Amino acid sequence: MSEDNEDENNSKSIEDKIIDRFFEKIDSSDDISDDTQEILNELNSEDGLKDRDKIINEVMGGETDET
Amino acid sequence: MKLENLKIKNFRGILEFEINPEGDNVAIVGPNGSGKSTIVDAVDFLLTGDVKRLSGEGTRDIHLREHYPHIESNFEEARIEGTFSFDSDQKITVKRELHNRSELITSDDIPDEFNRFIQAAKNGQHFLSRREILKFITAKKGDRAEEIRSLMDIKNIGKIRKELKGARNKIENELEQFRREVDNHWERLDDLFENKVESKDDLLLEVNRIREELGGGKLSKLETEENFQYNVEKPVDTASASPLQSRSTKNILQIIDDWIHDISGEFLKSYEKLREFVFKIKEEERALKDFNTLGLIEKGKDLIEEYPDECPLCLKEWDSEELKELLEKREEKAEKVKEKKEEIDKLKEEILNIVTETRIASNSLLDILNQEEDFETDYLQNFYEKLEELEEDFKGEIIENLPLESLTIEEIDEYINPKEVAQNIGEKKKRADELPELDEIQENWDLLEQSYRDFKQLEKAIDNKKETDLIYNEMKKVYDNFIDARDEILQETYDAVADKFEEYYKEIHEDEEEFSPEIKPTEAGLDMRVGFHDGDKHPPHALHSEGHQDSMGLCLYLALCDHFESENLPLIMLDDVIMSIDSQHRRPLAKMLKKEVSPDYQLIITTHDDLWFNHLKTEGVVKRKNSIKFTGWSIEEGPIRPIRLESGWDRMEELIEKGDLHGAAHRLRRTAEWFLKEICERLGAEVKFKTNGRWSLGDLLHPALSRYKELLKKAKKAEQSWGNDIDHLNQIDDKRKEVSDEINSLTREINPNVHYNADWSSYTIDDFKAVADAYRELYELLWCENCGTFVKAIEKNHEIVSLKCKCGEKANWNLEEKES
Repeated sequence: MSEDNEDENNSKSIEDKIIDRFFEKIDSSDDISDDTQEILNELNSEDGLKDRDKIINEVMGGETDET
Repeated sequence: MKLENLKIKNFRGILEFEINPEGDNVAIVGPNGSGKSTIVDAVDFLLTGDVKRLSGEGTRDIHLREHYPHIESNFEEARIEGTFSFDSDQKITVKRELHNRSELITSDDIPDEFNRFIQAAKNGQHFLSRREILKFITAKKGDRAEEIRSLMDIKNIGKIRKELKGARNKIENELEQFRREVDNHWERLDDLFENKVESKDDLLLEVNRIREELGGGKLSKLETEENFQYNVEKPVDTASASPLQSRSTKNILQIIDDWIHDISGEFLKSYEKLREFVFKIKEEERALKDFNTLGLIEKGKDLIEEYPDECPLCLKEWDSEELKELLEKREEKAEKVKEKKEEIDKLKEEILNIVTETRIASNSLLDILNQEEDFETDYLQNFYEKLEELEEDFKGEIIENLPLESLTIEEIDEYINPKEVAQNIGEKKKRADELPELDEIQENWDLLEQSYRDFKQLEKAIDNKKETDLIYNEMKKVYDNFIDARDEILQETYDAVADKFEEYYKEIHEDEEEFSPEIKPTEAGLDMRVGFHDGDKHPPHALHSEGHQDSMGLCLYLALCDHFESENLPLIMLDDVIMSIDSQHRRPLAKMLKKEVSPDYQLIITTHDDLWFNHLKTEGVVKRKNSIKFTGWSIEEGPIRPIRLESGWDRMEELIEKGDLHGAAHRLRRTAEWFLKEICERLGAEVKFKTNGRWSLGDLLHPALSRYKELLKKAKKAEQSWGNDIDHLNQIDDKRKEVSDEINSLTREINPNVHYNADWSSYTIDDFKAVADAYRELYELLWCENCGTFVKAIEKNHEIVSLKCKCGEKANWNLEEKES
């Protein structure tokens, strides 16, 4: 890690560090599809990871409404 | 960012107060109750709109309107104002009023840096008192974890975890529903055929058996693009037959009819039981908590068996029998809750099974009836949707959200069993029974048709289940990854905090090489252990003294502050946190604050300890100008600061001019107490000792006057022994006598007057002036304007040898008599 990157990382809040580590894990996971990875990234950028229904609707592609 | 100026008005014990830190550290010393914590509270209130010290456990009876403003002022008049400077040379002034505490008032542009600080303050990061130290060090693991995580500001992480878990659970419920649907469709198919149908192979065998009977030949697989009647000749009377005549339709009608006359009654019975259990569980809040910690209780019992004499964690002795009895009682209650919860799950499952079966039957009937234009199906569609909604409600968490809770049992009966459904289904069933039986060929044809329809629905349910299963597994992995990420980062943070904690602590306690803290999250909280002289690690409050615990609390807090990023937390307040730290470790602590903490943070430190206050000054933690001393507190004035010589008299004169007799009397009393204290000390007067160190005017006046008289007499005698003229001493003594008589005669009047007492208003300004003049004359008898000192008795070989001021102008008397 370059010095700049290291400084940047040190100045991040614990919350940001946890979110970053979470996405590192998601991105490198073979068990999670590219679509889901993309959806989670988008949800995170619009604060949607704090909205359960949004997560379900996005991840399930609206399928929850169907029986 | 630095605090430059702070103005407090009518807040808590302060009427009006101003400090000018000018960006530097501030230290405030004063006895208990002198108002030093109010300064900290004021900064807290300015930043957050609340006072951390007055909120939380044990503060339920403290009310904003009643207890936050100064007792003699109005709620609307209380306000705090602060000016802050930034590296960019920008300065902002912000104000917060008690009656409108949610709004930070300013006409300046607020920089992001300030908003970040406000956020940090709202998380409580800016403030450490002994209460927090106890939470860090001696609290239970759960409480410690809560305190530290709240300081770390990871509330959003908690929210995301909750939502991801909720999403995972909701998808799991969806998956359960598809599993039920699949099972139900198999049951339906099994009911249609004579032989057992539990798999696709079974179904293919049965379909082919019927097809062969109809001369259609065998299908090689069920998943055909054609239907099951493919290549089978259509029976002659199919065209004229009603869909109600087929056996499968009759089966479906029977299922719905059973619901109407029988199953819905079972539903109600199960629901009544379920409701009763849910209410009971809710009533037993303690037992429900015990249920959630049942695993821990069981582990606790094992530990007691294994360690009958002492707790294996803190090594404190315990009464294992008593503890075991307590745990068994809790376990018993929890077991009862467990039983009830199992019952609830069982009832919920029963309800869901019958609702799903009826819903699927309604859906199939809708498919059949919709093929014919003659049938009106709106009632059935509504019924289907109602069942679907009911199923959805029962899938969720039902202890907190019990479906149909607001309805009576009669209302629920009407809701789940609509009259139009009973009427229509009854009519259809009657009609189906009246219609002639179809012949075997027609029955078989219908059987193929219905089984094909059911098979298609089964396939759809299987697909849904498969797809939901994939999504569920993904969501489970997403959630698990989130928890892993959280735990990893927290552990890394705790490790880094532990290193810094150790570094700070060892700067204060150089002799404790073995001190090496470990902080680890546990299932239920946060475990902390520190090294001791025995080489092992123990809980911080197990073997270390209270003073060491105070050091640990402070060092842990400072280590945590480093992880809150100092740019977001430029100001921290330490409210009387070194109470138990011994004098040997205070100077190293002051050095540590100067070296390690001051470069990154502006500090506001309060203490009741003069020695620690001096350490802070001599080690350069605070400059002299920001070293604030309170000597006491009064209702009229708030924190009392040592007054300067002339200012007391001048202020009193101003108050007399304004006609504020109450204020002037108070000022006179304070000024007189102050200079009489000085006189008593300088003349060596004998004042009755008081452990609280608070001497009032009555305690000081007579000892001071008597001593002065005694020394003057001694001076005259000494001068006479040397054959010197004593006229000037006689003149002074006459003056002394005059002042003394005047004061004595007026003292009876001044005492009630200078107390906080409604009677003061009965005195006139002229009466009071006479009293004030008498005291002023006494003061002037002993104060040298030239050198700015009081006269002092000089001692030599334990004998008073002279009495003089610094320059000798006011007094320079020899008290030693000539030896005869």
